[in-house]
Amino acid sequence: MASFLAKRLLSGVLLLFAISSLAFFLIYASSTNIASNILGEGATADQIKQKSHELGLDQPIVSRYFSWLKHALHGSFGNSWANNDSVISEIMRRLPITLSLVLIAILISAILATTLGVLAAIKGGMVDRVVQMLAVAGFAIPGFIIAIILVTFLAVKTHIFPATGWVAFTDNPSNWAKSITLPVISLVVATMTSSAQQIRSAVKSVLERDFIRTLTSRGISRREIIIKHVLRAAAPAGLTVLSLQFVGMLGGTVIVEKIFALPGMGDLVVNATASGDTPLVMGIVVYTVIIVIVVNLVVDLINGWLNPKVRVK
Amino acid sequence: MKLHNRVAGALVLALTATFSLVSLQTSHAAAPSLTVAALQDVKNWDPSQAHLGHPVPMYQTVYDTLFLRDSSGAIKPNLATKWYFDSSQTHLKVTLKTGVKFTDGEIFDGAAAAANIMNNRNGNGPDASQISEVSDVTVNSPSSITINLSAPNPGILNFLAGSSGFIGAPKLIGKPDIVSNPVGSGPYIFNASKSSKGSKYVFDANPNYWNKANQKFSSVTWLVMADTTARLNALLSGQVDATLLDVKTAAAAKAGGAVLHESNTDVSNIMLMDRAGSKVKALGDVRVRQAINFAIDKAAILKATQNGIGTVTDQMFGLTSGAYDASLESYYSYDPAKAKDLLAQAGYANGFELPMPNIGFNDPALQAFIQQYLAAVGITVKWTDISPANFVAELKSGKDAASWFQLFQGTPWEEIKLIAAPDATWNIFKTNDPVITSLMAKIQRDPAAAGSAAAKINAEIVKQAWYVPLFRLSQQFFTGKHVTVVPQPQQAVPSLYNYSPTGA
Repeated sequence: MASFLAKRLLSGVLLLFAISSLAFFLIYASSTNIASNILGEGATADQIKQKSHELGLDQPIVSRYFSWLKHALHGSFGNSWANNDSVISEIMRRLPITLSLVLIAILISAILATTLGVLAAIKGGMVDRVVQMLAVAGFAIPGFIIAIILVTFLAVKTHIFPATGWVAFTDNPSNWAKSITLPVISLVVATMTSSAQQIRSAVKSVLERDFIRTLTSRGISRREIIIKHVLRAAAPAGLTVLSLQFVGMLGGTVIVEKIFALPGMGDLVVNATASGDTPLVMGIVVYTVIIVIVVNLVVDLINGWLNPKVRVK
Repeated sequence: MKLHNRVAGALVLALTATFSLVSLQTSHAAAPSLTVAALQDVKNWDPSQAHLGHPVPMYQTVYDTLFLRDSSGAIKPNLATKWYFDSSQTHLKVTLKTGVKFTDGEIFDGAAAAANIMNNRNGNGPDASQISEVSDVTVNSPSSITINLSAPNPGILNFLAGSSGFIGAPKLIGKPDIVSNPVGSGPYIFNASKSSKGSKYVFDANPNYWNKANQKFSSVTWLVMADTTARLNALLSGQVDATLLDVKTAAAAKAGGAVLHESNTDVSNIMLMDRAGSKVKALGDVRVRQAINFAIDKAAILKATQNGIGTVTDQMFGLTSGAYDASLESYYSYDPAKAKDLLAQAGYANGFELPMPNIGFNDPALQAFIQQYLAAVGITVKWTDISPANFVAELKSGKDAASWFQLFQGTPWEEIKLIAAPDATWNIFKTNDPVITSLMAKIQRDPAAAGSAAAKINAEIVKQAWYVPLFRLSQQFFTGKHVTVVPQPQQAVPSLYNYSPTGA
């Protein structure tokens, strides 16, 4: 297990280095007129020159890259070029909001998708057809449409939930629940229905395998077979789908955060990229890659725990 | 069956738990507090980094200015009680209010005023160029300063009443702390514990504020919401008292009971920048530029792209600029036959190719209309791809001979420095019209003549067809039932001082 973990960690570090380096040069290639964009349309040529010098934009790209890398290896991502705020504090202010949205949404999705997927697989018939219809509907209806419908009826018209904004859990747990409910539902709908479909297929496939027939012939109850054996065998497929959904949701929250005016990573990513705010973009890239690596590592570890063959491989 | 019962039970439990956390009423903060949804965040709270337009009222919450532009646009005393220019218009002597304290206990005096003006001048902020003529500030006494200019700046009072004139606590000026913890002598005090950078800024009333007439609320909260739909929903659900919407969301806001406070700030136009014809030879001929003005049916574009909300115009100076001339409004009535005739006279009977930056990212319908109307008189628009994020910087680089753009309509001097002067922000090719430069010199000698001289400059650029003004955009600013507001001339959103509790 230790060797399995070490290999995964090493590949994660290499991936982090490769993606962050690629991102740095891609930003350089796609960002022009950064100083001018920061200063606005009224800036004079002298002001732009001075700002470019302040930001180090007059330095060669390779020396800028190694300077960034050196500081990053020491845990410093510098300050945002747009507002001079520390990149780490900017990310740490917003990341918990996005992560809490995504984690809660993925947890609810996992519970609901597993329940629906298993029900559809073992019951078949009408239940199966309904789950499949929901999956198609979940794919077809974009999350932002669901968000707009929810906010119109449950916030603007009935005032049950707030239309916009975020309240920290530590400030007021009740208002936190109110502020997060509609965004989470918007994220859950599409994720849950498509995951349910995948879990249904995985469970169905396991149910058709020989060892299930053997267990049934030995008189073990259907319920015990499903909980102890079918779910365990179908779990890797379900976990993989949910981990992909998690990563997709990190990007997908941009629109939901915009509609509900949540101060998460969405706006930060869009604004930093559009303005060519290199330190901030690089900080976001590094943090996002680390999250993705950690999620994949956790999924690999759970799969390894559930299925020893994975560890051997 | 048992499984069904358990699933149903779990769902009921989950719903009950959720609703037990949720009260059935969205609470509205007790009056008279003010909550406004702002379109843009402040860059940071350093006064030298303040920018005109949307963030100005946010800075006004905590910082005073020497001068104050009232809701009619007139300059009134604030921290400055009296002022006068010398005959050369390069020395502005200002008498300061005494007895004013910053909220950190420091005293406002001549040294504090001078330090702030120079910090705003030297901070390399977005609007530093507004006061670039300030060479230094002489502190005559604790209650008197002289602002020395290297050349007359007829807009200096306006600029010091706006984004270039915010006065912060002297100990913090130029220090990192003021970036996130603003301290001024203004009507409200920043409440850091209730604020969250980038999304919410809360200010409580300053108990010792010297001008209670400009402190009408117990607290002021700015919520940053870039998305128009989010701002509409926040207004209609009572989360905010006021916000800027647009022509697409205005009907829903009105239907929901919100009150519209309409004003004009920007003009949608095509900038014909290459007036010497160095990149597109045809644009060097005034008849071609006039033909483009005649070729476009502005009313049809306004109706199609803005739901008809706004006002068709043939001039760049705004209604409240003092340079507006109603007689110019029919100068270029839609007349494609006349456009073709002018093109033929200029030697372009078969038309020509006009490259312009692609504006499809902003308004594809407007782009299609411009292409269609110009094609009808023989001008083929060749759209060049441009990154939306770099649109402004690319235009300023001088690569493009012409482009659509939306320009601010400011006070006469602001407008001249924006669109008409040889070194104007949007006179990219530095066109030098002797009529304009001589009128500018007249304004610099006698700022009181700014309105009438700017009117002549306005007429000159209309006749020379430097631009193709399309329409003045209507700012759709809305308030809910607890608050009312008066629009601020030449400003995207109202000043903080223009808000009042309803019925007050």
